[in-house]
Amino acid sequence: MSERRVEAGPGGPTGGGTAEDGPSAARAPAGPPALAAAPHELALRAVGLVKVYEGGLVEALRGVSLEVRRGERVAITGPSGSGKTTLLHLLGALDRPTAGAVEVFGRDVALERDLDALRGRTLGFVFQLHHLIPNLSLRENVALPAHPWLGRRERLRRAAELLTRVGLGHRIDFLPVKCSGGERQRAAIARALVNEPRLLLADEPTGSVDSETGARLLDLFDELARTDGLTTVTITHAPEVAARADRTIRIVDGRIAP
Amino acid sequence: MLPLRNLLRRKSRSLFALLQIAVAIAAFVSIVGVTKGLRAQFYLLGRVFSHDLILQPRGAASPLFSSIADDEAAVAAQVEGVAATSLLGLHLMRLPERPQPVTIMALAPGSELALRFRTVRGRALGPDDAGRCVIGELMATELGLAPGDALAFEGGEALEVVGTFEPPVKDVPFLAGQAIMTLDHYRDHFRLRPKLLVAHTRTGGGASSPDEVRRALARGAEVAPRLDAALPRLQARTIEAFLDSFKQAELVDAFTLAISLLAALVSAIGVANTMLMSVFDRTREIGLLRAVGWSRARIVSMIEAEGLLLALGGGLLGLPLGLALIALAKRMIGLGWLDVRLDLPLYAQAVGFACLIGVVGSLYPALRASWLEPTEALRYE
Repeated sequence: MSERRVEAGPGGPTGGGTAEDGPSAARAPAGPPALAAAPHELALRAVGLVKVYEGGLVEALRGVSLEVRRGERVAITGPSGSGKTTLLHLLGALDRPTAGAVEVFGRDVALERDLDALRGRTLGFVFQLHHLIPNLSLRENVALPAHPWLGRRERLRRAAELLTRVGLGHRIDFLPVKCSGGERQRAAIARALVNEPRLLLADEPTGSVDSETGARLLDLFDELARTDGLTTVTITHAPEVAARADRTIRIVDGRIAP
Repeated sequence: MLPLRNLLRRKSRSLFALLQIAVAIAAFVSIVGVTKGLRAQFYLLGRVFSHDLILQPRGAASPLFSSIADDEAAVAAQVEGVAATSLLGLHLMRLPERPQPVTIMALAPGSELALRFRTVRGRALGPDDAGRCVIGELMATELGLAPGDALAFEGGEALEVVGTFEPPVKDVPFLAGQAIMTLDHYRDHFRLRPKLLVAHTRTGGGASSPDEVRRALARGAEVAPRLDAALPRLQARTIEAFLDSFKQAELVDAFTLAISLLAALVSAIGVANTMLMSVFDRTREIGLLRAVGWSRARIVSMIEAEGLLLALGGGLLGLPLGLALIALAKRMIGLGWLDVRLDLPLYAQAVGFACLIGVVGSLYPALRASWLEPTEALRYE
C-alpha cells in the first residue's frame, strides 16, 4: 500500500486498533494493531476510505481504515445510514471509493484489471435479500456465479452438492417461490460459496428472516466458514450475530467509532 | 437456457416482439420473393427472344409510348440478316371488379411472334377474327373463361375468346396471364398503332442452350447497326440490351431494399423496446450477476442471446406468414400471374435478416445492462 493512498483519506488512517472488541473478544486474540499485520497475513486491508455521493452532498464514509486477518470473522455494526453497506461494497470491489484504497489478499483493487474475476473467484457475497432469480430452480440459481468454462453439468453438480451441504438437498429443483425465507437465504449462502471464495462478505444475512431461522442460518454460516477456513465480514444489527464474530467494528457517521 | 427462460418469464411481451419480427420477415420474404420472381421472368424472356431484335423509336421510355409505322416494318424486312418481322401492339384494359389491368397484345395471325404461342384449347386467331381473342391458360383459369366465352372489359368493350394458349416460356406466367387480339382489330377498332417492331434473325423460336443464346445475341448485335442505318428513326436492340434499358429493375431492387430496411428498422426498434423493458425489470438481477462475478461481456452475451432467440423465433414464424401473405395477395387482388421465387437462399436470407434485427435491436439494451454498476443495480427499486 503506497503512502499516496494512506494520505488520501481525509480522516487519516484508523482501523484495527479502533475496533471495538466484541463480546467474543475473550475467545479470540486481541485485534491486530493498526496496519501492523504482515501483508501475507491479511485478507483485507482498507486505508482512508472515503465515499461521497450526490456530487459531494452525502459523505457516506469519511476515512475508514481497517485490516482483517486471514480466517478472521469480523462483524460490522452501527446505526442505519452509518455507512456499513457502503463500506462492505467498497471492500467487496462492488464500488470504487472516492478516496482511499482497498487490498484484497494483497491485491490492490484500484489496480485490478479484472474486477469481475476478483469478485467471482475470490469473494462471495450474501445480501440481506436473497436476490434469487425467480424462474430458476435453487440449483440453477446457485450455479449462476460458477465459471462458465466448468460446463453446465459440472456447475449444476457443484450447486447440488452445496445445496445439500446447506440442508437443501431435497429442494434443489424447487423454484425460490416454493421455498421459505430461510431456505432462500440458505440457497443464497450456497450461491456465495459456489466458486470456493476465500473471503465471504455478508450484508445482514439474517435481516430478512425470523430470529429462530436467523440463528440456524448463523450456525450454518459459522460452520461453513470454519470448515472452509473462510474469512468473513458480516454487517449486522443483531447483537447475537456480532457475538459470534472474533471482532466487531462499529461504524458511526461514516467513521469507525472509537 | 437462461436467455430462453428469461424470455419465457414474460410470455406476452416476448410474443409481441416475436410477432413484430415475424411481420418484418413476412414482408421481406414476400417483397423479395416477388421481386426475384419478376426478375427471373424478365430474363427468361431473353431466352425466347434471343434471335430477335426489338425496334422502337429512339428515346422512347417504354413500349407504351412507342409507335411504329407499317412501312418501317417493310424496310426492316429487306435488311440483310433479317429473316422475318413481326409487329406488336400493346393495350392495357381494365376488367370489372379487378384492380389490376390486363395486357392485350396485338399480333398479326401467322406472324413469327404469333406462331410462338401454342394453342391449347379452341383454335388460333385467323386474319378474319376481328373482335375475337385468344387468352393465356392462366387468364382462362383466373377468370374462369373458355373458348366461346366473352372477355368483357369495363365500359362494355368485349372480345370473344376463340382459344387458349401456352406462352413460349412456360415459366413466365406473366405471358400466360395475357390475351392476344389481331393487329387489324387493334388498329381498326381501338385506333392504335403498333408499339414495337421485332426483326427476327431466325424463325422457329428461341435458343435452347446458353451457348446458343450467346451466339444469337452476337448475330443480333451484328445486324442491329444495319437496321439502325436503314431506319434512322428507330433503334434496334437485342433482347438483352432492350431489357437492360429498363431502369425499373434497378428501381424495384432499390425499393425492395428500402422497404426491407424500413421493416427491419421498425422491428429492431420493437426489439430494443422489449429488451430495454426487460433490462429495467431485471436491474437488480443484473446487479446481482455483476456482483457475483459476471463480466460485462457475459451480460451483453445474455441479452444478445435473448434478442437472437426472439429473432430466430420471429424469423421462423415470418416465413410461413410471408407465404400466406403472398397467397392472400394473389387471391385478393388478382395477381395470379405473379411468379414468386421462394428458394433456400431466400429463406436463409430471411433468417439472417431476422438475426440482424435481433442483434441490432438488443445491442443498446445489452450495453445498457452491462453498464449497470452492481451497487446501483442492487439498490434499484
